[in-house]
Amino acid sequence: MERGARLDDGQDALKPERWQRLQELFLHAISLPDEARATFADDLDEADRDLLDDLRRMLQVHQAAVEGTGPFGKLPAEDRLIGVQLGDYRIDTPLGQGGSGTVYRATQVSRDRAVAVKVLRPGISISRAGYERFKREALAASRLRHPNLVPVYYFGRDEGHDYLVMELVEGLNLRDQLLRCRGLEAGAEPASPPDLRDPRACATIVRDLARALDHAHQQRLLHRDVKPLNILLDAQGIPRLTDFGLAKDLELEDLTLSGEVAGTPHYMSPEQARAARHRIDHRSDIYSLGAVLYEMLSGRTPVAGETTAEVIHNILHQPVVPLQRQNSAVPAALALICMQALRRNPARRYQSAGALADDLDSFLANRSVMARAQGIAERAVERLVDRRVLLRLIPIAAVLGISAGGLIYYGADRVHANSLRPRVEVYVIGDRDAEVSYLPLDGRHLPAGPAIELGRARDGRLSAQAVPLGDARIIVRTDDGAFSEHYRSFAEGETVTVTAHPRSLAQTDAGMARFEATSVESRELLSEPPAHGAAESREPLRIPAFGIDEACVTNREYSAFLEATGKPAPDRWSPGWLRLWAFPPREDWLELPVVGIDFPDALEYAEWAGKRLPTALELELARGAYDDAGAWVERALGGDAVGPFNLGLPELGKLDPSQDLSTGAAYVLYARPAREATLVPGARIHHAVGNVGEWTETRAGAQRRTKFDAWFTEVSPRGAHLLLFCEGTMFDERGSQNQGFRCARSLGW
Amino acid sequence: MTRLDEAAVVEMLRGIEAGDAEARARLIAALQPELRACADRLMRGQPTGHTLQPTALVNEAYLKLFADDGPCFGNRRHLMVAAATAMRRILIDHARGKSTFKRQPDGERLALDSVLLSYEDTGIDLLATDEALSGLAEFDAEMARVAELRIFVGLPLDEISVLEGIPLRTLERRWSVARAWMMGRML
Repeated sequence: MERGARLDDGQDALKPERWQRLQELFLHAISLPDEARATFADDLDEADRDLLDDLRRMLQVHQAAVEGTGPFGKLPAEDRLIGVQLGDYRIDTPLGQGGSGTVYRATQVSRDRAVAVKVLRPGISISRAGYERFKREALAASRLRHPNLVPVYYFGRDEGHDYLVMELVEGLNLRDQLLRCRGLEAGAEPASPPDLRDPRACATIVRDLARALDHAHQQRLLHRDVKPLNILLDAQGIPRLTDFGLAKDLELEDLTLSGEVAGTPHYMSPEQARAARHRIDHRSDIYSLGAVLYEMLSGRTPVAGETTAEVIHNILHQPVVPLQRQNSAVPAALALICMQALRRNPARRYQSAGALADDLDSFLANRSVMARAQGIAERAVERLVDRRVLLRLIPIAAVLGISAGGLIYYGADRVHANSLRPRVEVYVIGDRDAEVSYLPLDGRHLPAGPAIELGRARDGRLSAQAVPLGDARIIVRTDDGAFSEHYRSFAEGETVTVTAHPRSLAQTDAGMARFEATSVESRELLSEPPAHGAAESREPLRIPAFGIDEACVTNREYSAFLEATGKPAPDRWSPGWLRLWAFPPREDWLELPVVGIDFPDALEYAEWAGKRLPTALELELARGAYDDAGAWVERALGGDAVGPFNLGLPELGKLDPSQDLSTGAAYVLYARPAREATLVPGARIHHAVGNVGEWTETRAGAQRRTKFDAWFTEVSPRGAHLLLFCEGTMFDERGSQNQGFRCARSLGW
Repeated sequence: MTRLDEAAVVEMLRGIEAGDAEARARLIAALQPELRACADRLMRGQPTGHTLQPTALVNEAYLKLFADDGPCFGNRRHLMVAAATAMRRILIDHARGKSTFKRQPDGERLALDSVLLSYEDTGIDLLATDEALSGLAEFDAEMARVAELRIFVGLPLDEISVLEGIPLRTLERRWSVARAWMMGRML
């Protein structure tokens, strides 16, 4: 209480209009050049004299503000260590703050040389075991010598501080250099090298850092905290990695316990995010370095998120958006290298930092990349001159709109480009023989051309085959008529593995409604970009015959799937949600449609069941959105509809749109059993609308892939009411809490 | 200590939505034991000298209350604003050393100490901040709310911008002034 007394020195609270004025004056003052600002307060009008004291204080604060990491934002640093001597080192000025401590510029008194001293945050090494470990790590780090590593000279303890002495590197860290380069005009040069707008400059830096990491890894030392702040650029623009292996173990413990880590989690590898410490090896550093490269090239971290918890969730659950989609100017080969370093599964990444460096060298020398990693360039040459393969490629060429002659030339001249071709390899359960084909899909997931035969899987295996880019279904047919289909999106350089479990129609027929091939009118989808650019034709759309589940997959069916496959419950099912499963709040719980399913999980279930997900068109057709002539029935609906609401149709009278139920609570209250009566006139399936959201196979836009029909709240001058609104709504692959799905099957294509 | 259940919280949130002024006070009061319990839980097994961030506490409490996706948008705002106030009261009480809880479990006391420490680490004098904040609230309730969210929950500005419906640029500008005013008051 006493401490606050000085605030009550007789000042009255400001009146709102004076506060307004004070804000204006302050904002004006800080926009002035330094010298004008210094005298600004002295020249205040008489009328504003009452604000003088506040304004002076505020400008004083503003002047003193330095970058800080406190919850308060920028703060004036008051540092008791300045001038203090720790051992042989006199602390001079602060250089920066990191998760585990503050770095100072210091002087080694006995040798009169400038060094950097990192003083560990009090508390971080307070336990004896922790202290011993830091000491050990520091000793190990001090033995590392590499031109791209900042050497550690000494580790000491004095005045109750643990500190680490390192070479002083004069220059910016990578974060600052990135910000600086990003702010430059197109033609302008950065004040110091390198120009990070140049992808080759970025590749060079990361190559050097990968070599440094490789050196450390060979000494069995991990960095564990590779991020832009720990990468210093010296005056020549040479990158130097600092802060080796320190404090990270303890921070990870913190993470599991409190959900907080000191510093940014954006560059953490998935295994670090999972806090699977026993599984962290050198490949975690490779991921983090890949994340740094990704940010340098795209301006974004590979995972987004505001809060630590969100970032960690995204590292674990969100796929990294392909680099070239973020920035199409990044050379394809470089993007490929970056994405390979960022594979979620450590076994699919570069297996050593040296291999990453080698591939970057290849890129920089304009050689074929990935050659070292996968050794496929040579095989690509052989395949391309193989006539049989060429014949197989001709239909693909037709799909791609290039001539076969062009393809041959392309193939002979630019081999490395072909190594970027996506490929598919197929395994058939039961080691059966099967014909494998590739069905290209257009934006609506209608066939975009004839199916292309990829070859025959023998003894259950078809080795990797080059396929065109884009969305497609891989169709696997055994000789006895069983088949399976697998929706995949093929991106440059990816090898996609399909594990097929072909089933006969008789095995999947039960509970499915069949639809013959039909044509429907083409509609402008409000929420989806046109499938093939703006000039899309309005030709009727031909939908091949298909079957679709009459009902959504239920809680009972999904739990049977989990049991049969030994898969754990989805990560995103919270403890609270799992409690509901243990103690169902409703008697019909098991008959309710399963929810909280993300897109990959839905796809996996469908393929396990020998099916696929329906396309948006199929779902619409099945629930009666088109009349017999193929015309859209609900064209009159629309308006200023906001907020999809999938649950609650039976409670239409009761559901108050202003009532903000959590989605989970709405599900418990309002979701209906999957097999209850059909709700929409004309529908041949249960609840394609008005119950839970449903995944469809159809991609909508660049990154999001679902659409579901829903009840919306319409807000108009007449008030708010509910309305059935049948346009698609996009979600990312996570979907929402009330996201379920049903399965479908092609009966023709 | 009875644990808050989601239904009760949703009820109070709905009350706030409907303009029931008492509901807000009830929610703030109800959140305090929950936040303390979270502090206690988070602190258990931590090495001495460990510091907790207020954000971790509020997130934990939030996750506990809303195990699924949580209440819809409007409610999240009310909850966060209430949590910020609750957090502020707990910490200020604790800093003044007159916690209203007679038998404060060790873990909880340690946890709150460590949260205080986390402020001290970054040079924030909480009691002075609290007073400055009260001063600010007298003429700019909106920025005072922003300050509570920023300081006592540790929400980043862009998240606050979404919660409060203030465009980020505007918020940044206004917050920079309000912050300077508060810090000026603390000089």
